[in-house]
Amino acid sequence: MSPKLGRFEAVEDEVKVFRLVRRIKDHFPPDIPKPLPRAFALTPADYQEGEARQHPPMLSIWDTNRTSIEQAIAIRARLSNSPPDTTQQALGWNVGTLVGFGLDVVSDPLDPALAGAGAEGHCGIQGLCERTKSKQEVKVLRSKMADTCLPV
Amino acid sequence: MSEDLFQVNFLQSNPPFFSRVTSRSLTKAEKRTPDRMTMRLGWVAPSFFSLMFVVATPNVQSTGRSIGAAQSGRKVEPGLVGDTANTSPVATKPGPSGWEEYLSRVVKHDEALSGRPQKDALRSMWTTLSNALTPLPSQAGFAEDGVFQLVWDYGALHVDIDFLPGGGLEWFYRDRLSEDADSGEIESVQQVPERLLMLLRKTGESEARAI
Repeated sequence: MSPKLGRFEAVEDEVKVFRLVRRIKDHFPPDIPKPLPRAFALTPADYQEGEARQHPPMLSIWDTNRTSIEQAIAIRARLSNSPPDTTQQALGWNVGTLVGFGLDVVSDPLDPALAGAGAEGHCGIQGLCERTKSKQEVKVLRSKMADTCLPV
Repeated sequence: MSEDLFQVNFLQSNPPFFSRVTSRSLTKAEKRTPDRMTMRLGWVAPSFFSLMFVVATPNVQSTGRSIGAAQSGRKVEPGLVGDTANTSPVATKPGPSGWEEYLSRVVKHDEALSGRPQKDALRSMWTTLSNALTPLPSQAGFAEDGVFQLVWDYGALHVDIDFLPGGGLEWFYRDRLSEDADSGEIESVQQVPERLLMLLRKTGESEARAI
């Protein structure tokens, strides 16, 4: 395992990361072959968090070496005070793929006291902010992410 | 627009044989006038049969694709899979298990649609796209931010339309081979940019070539 990274340090290209994408029952077709590009859009909460931390907003992802899918689901539930959503799907990339698109992947460890086991594997994708790039640029990136992600 | 328009019309989704004749069989039929055919076969009943072929003639283009609705200027209602002659594998899937049923269910019952503006936009947009003979979407669904997205992913081409919770509409196009991209906002579902309609048709044709 690579050495522990500090907050906002770049993650190495060889590392595999995943994002939890909520499986939504009403997709067409039901056996949807890949996620909608919109699944990788920053939410208003992501923008708010970025402002609060005075850092570019990031899309939440996890380092597979440091956090399991089950741990990520449990952390998400714990931090949002909601029951674990086991219908979430883990979709992954090698960091190098995302970097090749012009995105940055940085470490963003959570507080283990609050998040629990696997907290140190939390990372973020920078470069999807529609305030610093044009909407079209961001949509191209999201489309590429949807094209290249694989189930973990 | 009435929600009934989203109901599947089995007859129109599965057009009669005469509207699906190939250009090759039509060419043969065209060469035979009803009278000559009757004389050759030596009986009277085929006159009616031949007449049916003549009636079917305007529905067939030289490419063999049925574009009867476009040629006649008749409006195509949502769900008329046979008339739109879509070229995607999804589009050719007949019956109520496909796109029409999904759209009908989403518009009528889905609680994820944020309210009337988003529902109305989806309904109206689909009518506009159907009338413009665009292919069926390959994917559709809601994102976590409440946006409903229609996606046309055929071959190297990608088009999507975002239905924002407030009723706004955005479109996006990308060619994976050339890396060309385009995008814009749709100010009114009744006035979908011609550029978007052209790109949607191009996307469908791209799939047809792939097949």
